[in-house]
Amino acid sequence: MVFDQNWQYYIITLVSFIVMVALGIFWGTEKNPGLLGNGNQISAFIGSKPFDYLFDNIYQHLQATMFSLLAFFIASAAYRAFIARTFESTLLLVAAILVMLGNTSIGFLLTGWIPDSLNFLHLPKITEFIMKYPTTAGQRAIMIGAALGIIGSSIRIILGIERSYLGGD
Amino acid sequence: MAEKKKQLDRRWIFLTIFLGVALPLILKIGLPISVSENVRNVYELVENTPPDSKVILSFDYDPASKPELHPMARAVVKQCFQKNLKIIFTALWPMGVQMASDIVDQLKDEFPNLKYGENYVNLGYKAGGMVTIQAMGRNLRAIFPQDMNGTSIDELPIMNGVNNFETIAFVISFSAGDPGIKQWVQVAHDTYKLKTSGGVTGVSAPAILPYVNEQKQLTGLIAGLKGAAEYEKLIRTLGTATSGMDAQSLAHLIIIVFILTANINFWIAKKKEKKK
Repeated sequence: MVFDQNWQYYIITLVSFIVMVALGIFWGTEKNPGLLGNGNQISAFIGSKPFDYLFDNIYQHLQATMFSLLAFFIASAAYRAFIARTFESTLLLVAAILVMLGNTSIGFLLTGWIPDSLNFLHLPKITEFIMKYPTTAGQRAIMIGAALGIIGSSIRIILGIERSYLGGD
Repeated sequence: MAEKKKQLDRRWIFLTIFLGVALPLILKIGLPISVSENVRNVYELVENTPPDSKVILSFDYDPASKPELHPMARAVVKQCFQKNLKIIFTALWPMGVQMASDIVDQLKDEFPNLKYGENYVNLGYKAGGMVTIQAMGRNLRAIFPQDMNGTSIDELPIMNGVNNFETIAFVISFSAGDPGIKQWVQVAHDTYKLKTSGGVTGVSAPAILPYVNEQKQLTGLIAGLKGAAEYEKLIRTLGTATSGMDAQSLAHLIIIVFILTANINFWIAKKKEKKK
């Protein structure tokens, strides 16, 4: 029997799954009793029901950690990807820097002194404009393109022109 | 090719980002925060609602988005309690129920006179997304006959006279995706003309911002941690979003410095290649 390189993670996942299900079934959750009642003795010891204890102290933090890891990967990816090689990539780079600055207190610090009559030059305003119009337009264009693609593929399948999914050419 | 050789080891990037995020949270820099019109509109919606009005706060997120959405949800709930609004908590996401309970627990010390069933109620999670909201608009009592504890809503004073959206002043959805704020706009506002507002993660803000328009499909929007920090400023409570904004600002600045460094390296390498 050949073990995968990351077999340990499979065991951790399965054990975690079984433990959470078992704790929920036997002692229930915050408001609901389980098969063995409310587990008052255990609750008195750890401060809450076993299921809720693991949910509050492990699961919630693990989920938040998973999401937070994005910050590190985005930083690394931005360093490698945002290079002004062409006109289009320069546009993307400039827009990204403006949005990043506008979404911080630094954006306000840099342009807060500009008088209200020229408030369209405030970085938070520029950020709002970029997110509201060009970004939305781009997103919609992608969605419309994808929808048209799905319609085209569906018609090809319905009419029997596209047979590759059946193993044909 | 030349630019690849010049690239920095990613571990240095990770370390710098870690320090950039951790230090402001520990040292608390206190960078200034400007309040945007969208966030002010949400604040004024709550502020201008008469006391004892019934409002729906929908918790449509889970722990993954907690760092971003929890601070804004806490700020809005706190303002609602300060204004004596009666809150009906619901959730379109299963774990939204715990998120709402957690916030009420956090605020109990500040508002010791709050009574469950009178000042607030948690109706819990209901699967179905848009269909659930449509059903609530037709007959809320049919879709939520009991609260999350199994108590009949007939026994809860806060639910007296609440049959659909007619007696609700507004709905605010804290949304991390689908189902969430989009469904509330499309059904609660567009079909039932209920004032709708909300808060979203920074990454989903561009998709939701178009709903903040002249038709007021959304009455303002709290977008990301920045929006949450702005809201905390408006209610004069310095919470986790305000300190988090320092960390976010510094992290963004670090990323910008890295991007600029990479570009400078790229142009230097390109010039050298041209000379050769």
